[in-house]
Amino acid sequence: MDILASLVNGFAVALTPTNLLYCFLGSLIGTAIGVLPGLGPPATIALLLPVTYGINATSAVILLAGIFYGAMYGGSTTSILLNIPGEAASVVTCLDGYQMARQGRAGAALAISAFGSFIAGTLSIVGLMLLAPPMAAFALKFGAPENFALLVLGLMMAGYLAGASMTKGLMMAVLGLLLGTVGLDPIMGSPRFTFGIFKLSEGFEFVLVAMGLFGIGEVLANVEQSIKAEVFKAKIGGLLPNRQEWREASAPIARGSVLGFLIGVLPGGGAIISSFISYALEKKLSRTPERFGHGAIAGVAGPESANNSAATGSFIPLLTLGIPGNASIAMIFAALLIHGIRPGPLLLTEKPEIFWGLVASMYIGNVMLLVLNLPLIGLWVKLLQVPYPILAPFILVFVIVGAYSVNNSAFDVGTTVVFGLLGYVLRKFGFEPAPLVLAMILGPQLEGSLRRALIFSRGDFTVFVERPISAVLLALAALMLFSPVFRWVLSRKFWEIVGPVPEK
Amino acid sequence: MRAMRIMTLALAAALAAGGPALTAWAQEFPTKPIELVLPFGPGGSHDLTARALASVAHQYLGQPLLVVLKPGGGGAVGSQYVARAKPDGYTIMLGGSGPNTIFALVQKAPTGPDQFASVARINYSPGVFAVRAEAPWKTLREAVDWMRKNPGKFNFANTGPWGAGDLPMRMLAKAAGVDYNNIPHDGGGPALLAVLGGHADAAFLFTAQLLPQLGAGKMRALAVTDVKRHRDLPQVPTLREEGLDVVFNMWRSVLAPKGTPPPVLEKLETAFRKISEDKSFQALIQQLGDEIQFLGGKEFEATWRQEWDEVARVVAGTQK
Repeated sequence: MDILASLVNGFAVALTPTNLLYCFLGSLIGTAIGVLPGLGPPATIALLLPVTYGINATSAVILLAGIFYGAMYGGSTTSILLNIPGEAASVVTCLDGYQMARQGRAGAALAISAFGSFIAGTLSIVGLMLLAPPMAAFALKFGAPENFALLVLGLMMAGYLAGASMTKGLMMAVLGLLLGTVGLDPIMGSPRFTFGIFKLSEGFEFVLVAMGLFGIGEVLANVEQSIKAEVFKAKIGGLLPNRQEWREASAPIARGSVLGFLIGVLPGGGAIISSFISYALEKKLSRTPERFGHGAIAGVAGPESANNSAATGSFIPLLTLGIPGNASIAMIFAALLIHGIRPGPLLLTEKPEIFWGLVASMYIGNVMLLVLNLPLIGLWVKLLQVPYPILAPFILVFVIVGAYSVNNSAFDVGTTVVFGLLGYVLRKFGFEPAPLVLAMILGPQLEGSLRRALIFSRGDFTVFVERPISAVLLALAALMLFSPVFRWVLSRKFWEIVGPVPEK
Repeated sequence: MRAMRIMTLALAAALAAGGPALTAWAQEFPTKPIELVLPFGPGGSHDLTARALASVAHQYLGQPLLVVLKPGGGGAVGSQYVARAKPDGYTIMLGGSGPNTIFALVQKAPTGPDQFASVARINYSPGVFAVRAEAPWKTLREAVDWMRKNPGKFNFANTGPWGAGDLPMRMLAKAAGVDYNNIPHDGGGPALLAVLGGHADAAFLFTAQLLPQLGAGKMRALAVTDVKRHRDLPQVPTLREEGLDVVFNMWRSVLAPKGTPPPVLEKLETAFRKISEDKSFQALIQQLGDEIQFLGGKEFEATWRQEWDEVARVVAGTQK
């Protein structure tokens, strides 16, 4: 009952008028930058860091955390409406969310992602509250071999993003892995494929690639068919999901919440990977996997829930170990430092008001975000009634300004445009860009953890099977890889070909 | 299609116009805001220091100090941007030992002491050699002895190839004549996590991240890279005290393009000296776990060139 008392104290902190205001501001700003492509939560939090100098530490954390999880709500909006990922963690939402919008179900897709985010957000705060110390101990068990095994499992998911042709999907994944090698080698720090361009030495910025491939590629493809510009006019059905859609979305939301939380806690995990894994999982479990990529609501509900609970989960390493797990959390770490608080193992006992105030504010923030986002749905859907010839140039401007806002660099705009052209060509030839994007994120991490593990073991590959966590994860990956073979062996067709088992 | 192209062009033109305006520069420097370029992304110790500078600069410069982030290439992008900027004092940078010594040498980028005029050093952060609390080594000498007896067995988690937590270990190993297993990690957080989780034996870390771990009894600090002991760690000896002649600190200094007129440099140095004496600036820096170690342009340049030569020897030793 200790937790209950602490939580009550936390609410006492979070419910003061000032903190409520900061919580609301954070949620509002988070939603806004989530909707805008390009500028992401880390950059926004950095911009607002100086603003927090004058307020107390708890309020500062409430504000900045609100921006971070608020962005997870807003990120899906442009993915669904315009096929432009507003946030890196919403790339996978483009696949089915945008298709739903084209079928007149934009309202349902937006609503389900808001509800999914709310449910996942709330469930993961419960997890944060009850499980923070044991989860942190679990995260510490993840060394390089375990990370490698997890990433291998993640890469297996590329197959589930493949769309119609598995061969083309795998080709895209390989291209993604190749593009991921551009930049400084993660182990030696020597430049690869940079052609002397310093801008390339950090590799391709993932957001830019995704905005180009999805956003610009889509516009170019649509402009071509401008005669039948009425693509979206296909009647904008009800704004809320119907009963059938709710039934299909509820299990993915639950699974996405748990999955996102677990992956969010891990170092190097986080919202992006959890959204991809959730999508693949839902496709794997679905009774109608062929509908994925053509507007399956489970493909929106799962990932959008997962990215929200991953955002909450990633607070655990910060609050219990003092180690920021991703760029946004690193900014919040910096904000705490400025207020003279060094997050670490003792934060929970020395500064309970920060931990519990934050937890309570997250409950409140999630309610605010739901209330904030639901009425906006009607407004967003109206956007689709704008004739496409008028909408298209605005989308391009939106994407280009977004690309520029990431690093204030014209080079980045060029990158986005080049990938936009690539996206158009890929579309023409029936290639699905999602596996490329996934492989591009995972590639460098996979390489880093593989080489790190092998340096650690001095070249001994048995390190991956000797350690229980990595052995289990690799076994799972192998099972996934060979499951079509097993299924085929068990099927009747196999025995028809092989012939009856000789009796004797 | 055409409408789209025109819009794109118009936008590009608008963006281009937003760059540094080229107005004639007056005698009374400064007459317009000064850009302080940061060769890194947001949120790091450099960014926080730059923002702390900017928060009080106006009253000492008479003009606002605008922090401009130009990340990329381990600091090479921002550094080159400033090195090539007009040497009029309106484009200066907050340089660091990463981009302006280590990477300049490793990647042979033109971002070293020959390309810049030093204005002032603001401060520096020493690295702290730390092991897990359960580790058998109570002192640095014990750890080094162990490395000597078990060549290549000591698992060291660096904070990125050639980063602030990699170079000091290379220097230490060179000075002690030992061999170790260098495991690259993606920054200070992952390196600390690896040591805490038992996946590596030691790391070189900054105090802001280490102090809470020391307080909670999870880690043990064995030595600092500074010439003197750290304010917050009075019981931890320096590497020199432990018998190894290694000094390496991550400095943060204001640099201007080579060729900036001496009167302008003097004005800037005076302003930054006053900023470093400002009470609210000092308080901000202290909260970051750093101290202010102001050094004028000439004095700093001398230490910079000395560091440059030392690191050049380490780099030459490994790149053969």
